[in-house]
Amino acid sequence: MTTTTAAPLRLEGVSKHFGGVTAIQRFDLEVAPGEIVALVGDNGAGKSTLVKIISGLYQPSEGTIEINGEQVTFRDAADARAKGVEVVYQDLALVDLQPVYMNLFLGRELRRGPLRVLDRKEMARQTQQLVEDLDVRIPSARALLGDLSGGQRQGIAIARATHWASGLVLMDEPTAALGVAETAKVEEVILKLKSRGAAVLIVSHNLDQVFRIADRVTVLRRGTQVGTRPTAGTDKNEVIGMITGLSS
Amino acid sequence: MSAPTTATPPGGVGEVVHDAPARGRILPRPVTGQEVVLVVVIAALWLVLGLATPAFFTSGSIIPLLVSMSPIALIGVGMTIVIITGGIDVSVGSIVMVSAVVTAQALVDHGLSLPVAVLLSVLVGGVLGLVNGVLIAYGRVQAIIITFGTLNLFKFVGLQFFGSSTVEGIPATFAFFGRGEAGRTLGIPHSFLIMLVVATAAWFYLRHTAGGRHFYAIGGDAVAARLAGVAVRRRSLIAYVLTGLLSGLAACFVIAQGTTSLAASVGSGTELAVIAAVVIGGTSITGGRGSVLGTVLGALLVQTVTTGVTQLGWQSQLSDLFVGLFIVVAVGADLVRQRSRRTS
Repeated sequence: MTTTTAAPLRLEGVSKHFGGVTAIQRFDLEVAPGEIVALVGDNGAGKSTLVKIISGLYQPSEGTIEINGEQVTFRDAADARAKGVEVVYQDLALVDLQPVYMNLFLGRELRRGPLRVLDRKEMARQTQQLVEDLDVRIPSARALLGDLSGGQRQGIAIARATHWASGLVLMDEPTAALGVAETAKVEEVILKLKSRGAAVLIVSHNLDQVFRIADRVTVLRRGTQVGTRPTAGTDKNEVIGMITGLSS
Repeated sequence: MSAPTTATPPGGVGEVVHDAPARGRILPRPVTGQEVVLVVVIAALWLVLGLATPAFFTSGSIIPLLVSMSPIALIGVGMTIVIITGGIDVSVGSIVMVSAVVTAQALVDHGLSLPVAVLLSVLVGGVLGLVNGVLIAYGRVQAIIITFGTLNLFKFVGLQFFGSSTVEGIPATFAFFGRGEAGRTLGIPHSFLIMLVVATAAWFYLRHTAGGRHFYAIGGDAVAARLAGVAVRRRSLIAYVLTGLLSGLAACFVIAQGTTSLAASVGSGTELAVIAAVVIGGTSITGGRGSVLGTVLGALLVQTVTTGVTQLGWQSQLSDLFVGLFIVVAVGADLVRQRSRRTS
């Protein structure tokens, strides 16, 4: 890791307006290397908008984004990717009819020789190495993605983000569609990511999960950042109160 | 590759030798089951035809067969790529018609040389393909709707060139692509050879290059492909332009097959024959899977059936019946594959 002191992600006063509607109001956040920060809030609170801003799909109306200490302006998702920001999307963004390794390298394929031929062998080897490192159990790097289970597919989506991220991984509801055992597996992978020094910003509806894996939790309510707490210094009731605006 | 993630090799992974690569196959396989089946079916048909009509295995029968299938297979190469991306192009018949009439008229009026005439025809096809591609890739309208519209539009344009008559007195410039002596080298028709070269190049491109694999990714899941950084619109555009260019080249073959006159019916129904060849060849009509080799075999099968029915002296409608049956079987096989995948 080349990270020294600069935070993989620093947001300062980020706002987003759609016409007259304010989707995000002055949002500040810093995520350190090896830290998992959970972003929670009710439906429509602006969580996905925020993820889209950081991943380059939306541009902030105001405020600054810093990646590894460098202020950035993303025009699209490719810009963000180039800066080492990787996203695990809710709907996975994987292609079922392609093998695992092609999914991992889609858009960034390894090539060799004067004809720029696909280097399938090397892609499959690196994929195999990666899934072993992250302990994602799949039959083979050459298996068709469509043949894998939901948990395995999510594992691949996270592995892809890990492979390309140079510091920051965004996750939008990574376990929303998974069963209990698969969720546990994916959480293991996320913790593995943390132990390798990645900064993780995870959107989750599942507060049990937030308290299981996150170091800090930040709450959005109707576009406004209600607060940020270390998970060790708060409890579910307080967070629910922050989400709903009702003190219990 | 400076992999940024190699800093922490987790406990005891080291040199784990997995048996998975040995079990796994390099996908997509070079030859699919459907292609093997096609080869067997074609071989069986040829055997039966050879036994039933002694004339079948003579050059007088085989060469017209190869010459006839070449334009279908050639356009099929482009159509395969289009269908792999999840699109379709039903306007290819009209593209052939416009390219053919423009080129034939230019041959009559200006006596173009062979290369210039070919270039003209290919360019006309490319321009029409570009119209399709721009509308589909950037207008974001269903490909079948757009190309159904341009089918009629291009047809109208072509008919203006014909001006309610036929083009007469076409010189023999295109004999190079014909079924006569001038159209052969070592007994093999030039149109067939050209088709093979194009198909081989397309096969290599689709199978071994990143750009080629992106067509499959788009057909598999366009949103996922876009999020992964695939230039979805540019790829779609390329697919339709390529199909247009190949239809323009195929138009030269079609002119060469005819007599010295060209009627307004030229190219009509081509789209159906081409799509039949692609589908019979195992390309999934829903996108994401398919091969050029399958399409060439599909075109050969369709032409074999047509030729066979004629040679056996059966009524020609029977060839429609057989081709229809092959399509149903091929699509059925594709569906069975998809369902078994979903439930496995």
